[in-house]
Amino acid sequence: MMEKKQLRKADFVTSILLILFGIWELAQSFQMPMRDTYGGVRNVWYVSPALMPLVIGFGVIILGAVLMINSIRTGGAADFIKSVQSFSLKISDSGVRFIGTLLAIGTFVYLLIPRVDFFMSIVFFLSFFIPAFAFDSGEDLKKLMVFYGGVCLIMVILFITPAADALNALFMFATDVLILIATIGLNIYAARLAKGDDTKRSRFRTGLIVAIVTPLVLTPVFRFFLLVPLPHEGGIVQLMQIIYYSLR
Amino acid sequence: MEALNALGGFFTSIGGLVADPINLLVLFGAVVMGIIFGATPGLTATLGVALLTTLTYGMNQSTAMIALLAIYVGGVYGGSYASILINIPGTAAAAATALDGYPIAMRGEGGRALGLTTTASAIGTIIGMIFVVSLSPLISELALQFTSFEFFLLAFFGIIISGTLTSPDLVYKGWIAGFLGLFLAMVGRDALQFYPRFTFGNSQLDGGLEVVPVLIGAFGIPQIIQVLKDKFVPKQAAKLDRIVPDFKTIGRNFKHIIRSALIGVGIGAVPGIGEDIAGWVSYGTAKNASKTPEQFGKGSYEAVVSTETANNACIGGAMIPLLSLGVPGSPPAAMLLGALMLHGVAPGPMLRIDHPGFIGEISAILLLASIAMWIAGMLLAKQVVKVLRIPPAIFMPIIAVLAVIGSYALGTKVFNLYLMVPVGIIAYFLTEMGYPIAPLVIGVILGPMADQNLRRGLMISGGSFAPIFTRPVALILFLVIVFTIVSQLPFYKRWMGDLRSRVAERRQARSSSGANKPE
Amino acid sequence: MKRVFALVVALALVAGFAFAAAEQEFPARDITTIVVWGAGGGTDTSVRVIMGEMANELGVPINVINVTGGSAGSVGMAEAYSRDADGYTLAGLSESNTTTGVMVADWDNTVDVWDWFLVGGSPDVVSVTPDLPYETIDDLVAAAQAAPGSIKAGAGGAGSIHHVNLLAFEQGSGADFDFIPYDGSAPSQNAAMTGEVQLVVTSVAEQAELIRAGRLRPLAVLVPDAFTISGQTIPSAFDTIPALAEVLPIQQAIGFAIRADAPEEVKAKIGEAFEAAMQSDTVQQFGEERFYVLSGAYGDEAKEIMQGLQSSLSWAVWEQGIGVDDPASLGIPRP
Repeated sequence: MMEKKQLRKADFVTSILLILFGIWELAQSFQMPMRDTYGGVRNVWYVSPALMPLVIGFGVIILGAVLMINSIRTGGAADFIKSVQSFSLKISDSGVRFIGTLLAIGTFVYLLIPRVDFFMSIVFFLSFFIPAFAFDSGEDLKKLMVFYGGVCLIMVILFITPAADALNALFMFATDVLILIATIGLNIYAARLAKGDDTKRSRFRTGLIVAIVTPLVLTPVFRFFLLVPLPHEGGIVQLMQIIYYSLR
Repeated sequence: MEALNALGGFFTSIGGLVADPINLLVLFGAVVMGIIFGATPGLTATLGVALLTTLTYGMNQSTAMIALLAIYVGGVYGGSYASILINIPGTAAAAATALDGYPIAMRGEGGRALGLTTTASAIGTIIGMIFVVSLSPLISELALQFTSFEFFLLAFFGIIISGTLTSPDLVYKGWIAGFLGLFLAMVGRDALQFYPRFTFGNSQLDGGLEVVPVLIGAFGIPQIIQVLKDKFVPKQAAKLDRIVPDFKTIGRNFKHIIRSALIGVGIGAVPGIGEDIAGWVSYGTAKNASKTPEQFGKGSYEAVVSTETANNACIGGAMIPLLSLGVPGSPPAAMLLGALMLHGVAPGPMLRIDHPGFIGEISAILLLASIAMWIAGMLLAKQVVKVLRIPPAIFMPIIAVLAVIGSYALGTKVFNLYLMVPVGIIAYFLTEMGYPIAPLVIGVILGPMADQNLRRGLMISGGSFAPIFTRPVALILFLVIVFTIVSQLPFYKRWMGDLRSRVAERRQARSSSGANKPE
Repeated sequence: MKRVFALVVALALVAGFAFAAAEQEFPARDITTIVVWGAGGGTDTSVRVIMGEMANELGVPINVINVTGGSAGSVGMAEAYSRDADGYTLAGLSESNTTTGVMVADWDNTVDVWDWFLVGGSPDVVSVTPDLPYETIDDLVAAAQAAPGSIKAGAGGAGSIHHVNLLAFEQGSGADFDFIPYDGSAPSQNAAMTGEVQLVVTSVAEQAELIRAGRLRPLAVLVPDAFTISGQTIPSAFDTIPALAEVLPIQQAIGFAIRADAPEEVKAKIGEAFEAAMQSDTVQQFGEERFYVLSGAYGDEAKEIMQGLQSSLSWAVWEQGIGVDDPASLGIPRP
């Protein structure tokens, strides 16, 4: 949690957001049916689907207002205005770590999981996420973020244009192979960053093992034991399937 | 008479079940699987029962029931691991446990907490089971007293509880979080008239937000960000404290255990709601009843014991309407209903006649499952505590992967993941700004129930609130709510404090006067 | 470490060759059935039973999963439809899925995109709270006509098959009830037991245990023939209210479907297995115990049944004002 002074400052911003949200929510609610028959039910105000949303909307606005008054009274609002005037775009170390976490989770969920082979997406994700924080160095984190972010950007471009489909049609599992190459590249890069530092090197080694073992355990357990179809079953999952069927 | 019959079936069943080594193998296998399921963020008891339903199709009926009930018991209990050790509740049922369990683990007493919850969970399950054998017809009649207004009041009570989970900063921040949770619950087509609320024409939102992705988003993602961003290292236990049940603490918390078990059975018995709510209600009640409510939220053993007893007692409770009315008492029990039907058992009022001894068998399995859970828990807990020694930079990414798979696996919908991330980021900022997250999750869980039943109740009564005062169960619930609110008000606390000190004074005066005048 | 990568690449290449040789006779791998309704429900249990038997016939395991959400099962249906039309993905569906086209903006297909295999369904029954004076369906209709809107009727939400049956029953009998929607059949039956509503319309299968225990009093089934459960005969509402024959029956149809554009030989294989499974003791016994009327229809016959249901349900939903797409625009004829 933040410090008290910071909190009051943040409260001012949140209170504005809350009040705006409440107004928007009320506006939406008032468009819901409140009379006449709807869905086979004779509508009265107390039956309307708008009933709870209205309560929520008013509640949020009232509490938002209370929050705002408190923030103004304790000087949070004034602090906020002051800080806006002396605004600067400098990101602290913990800010970089925050962005790094978001980058990892965001790309994993929105880019990798839905489009890339399940196994490969976990290996790629962990190959970035573990060394990025385990090296415990702001410089390394930034470098790895640039590398990882660059690869993801290329993938995004591939996937929003028809390029990915064309590639996959040309060569089976082309995108999976691309991620495989990127993963190898990422690991070589991380290994170079770890060079000459024994703690980093041992952490890199542990990280690499974890990055491979985790999906190696999870994929078969979910796919073949718990019978959960995976979001994207690309090259490696299909390979596992062939092995599974030939063993059975 | 009926209870006696059930009891007879109960003892013969235990003998029969234990005699078969395969059954024992399945029992322990399923319990351990359940614990792993519960402990993994996002994988819930419901999912465990659902997945195992497919796998047990070929087994005979009693072996299948052993597997399903054992994974249910293990899953509800296993949720406490993740709650206590990493502050990410493994299941919604264990969310209340995280509030106090995590601070305990941070003090380096994680092992002791796990030992306690294991015993509390086992006791809870057994008490729930006793109710199944003895009072099942009576309780299922009581469950039939629940009409729309009672359901609404029950949901309302749960929401009021979020008022007792006060924020570390300003009191009303808890309310704001609660309202935001209620708003999330409004998304989707409303259950009465099918009007699409806040869906923006996206048919994926039509069915509403699922609890698991919201839960994992709201608790998991902020925790991952915080640990990595602030380079947070949990305090190591000076020495691995003993996991072995600490019977003294259990004894001291005995009244909490009994009360929580009753709450758990009661809530489980009400159709449609289950472990998740039982944990919160028990937490709120324990806080109100405790002599040291200020310790709640800071690592109180009373709180952890109360929530874990209640959510496990809920299992027995949920079996009651399932077996005697054919109405599942909780989400995992709904899966069990399907599994039972696959095995040719139609639960309902005629079960006693069609399959005499079946209720006894179910109780026997519950007892065996809770014993197996206790043994497995005692063996596992010591090992599990060691995860705290893994450096967070390696541990948290794995947790991230597990949380993602967990949120995906229940509905096998990638859309749930898309939802989880923004919820998590908002929850992170809210946590940073001193908002408690628990009311938000309670709002999401109880919102639809409150909304639907309030409107349906008013629809039936023609807009009148009179049924709240004329129906006995509704009136009791209403009075409990009023008491809960009043007990939060400052003047009541002052008055009670006055009263207590006056009583103490008088007692002291009497004892001192007694000392002066020997008989 | 580099050796590990080399190994992975080599394995990937081997896999590539293996795929080329993987063209085998259907079924060569596990089949997945996506049930669009929740686990434990009527569709789920029926599909699991039939899949269990079909797995024996086909010689490969069939995994049943539930993908719920959206309206009228749209999310699961879209998911099943997005998989390859190779017969390795089936969809566990029911009659309510025929309204998805009307209910959901981004699903504009009709039942014709599927080939249906119908396990069967259970007829709808009108029941009342046992302590009420209504002994026959005529008593009930007379009371409702005497005081329109005074009797509260519970059923699943708008557009559910039970609600549509209730509407048709009102239309055919001239009775007027106060409709109270519930979130599914079980809660509506509960409400009728507690007396919160006086009458409930759900299927015989769902009510059977409650009827047998005397918790609900069945008045009539909404199909042309009387129905017997454990020695108790429930008369048909058609006997005394002949006008019902014009609007009813609208019967439950539970089963599964394969994409219509799947190869014919795959469909034929599944059809054979389905037919054998329907004849098996397990399925027959399941039908008897659960009070289902087993169907076994597939191919053109099943398609016709589903088209009929699609007409009555889609138009009913549209007239309730809760649809998004006009059924006429989807080419669905009026019933």
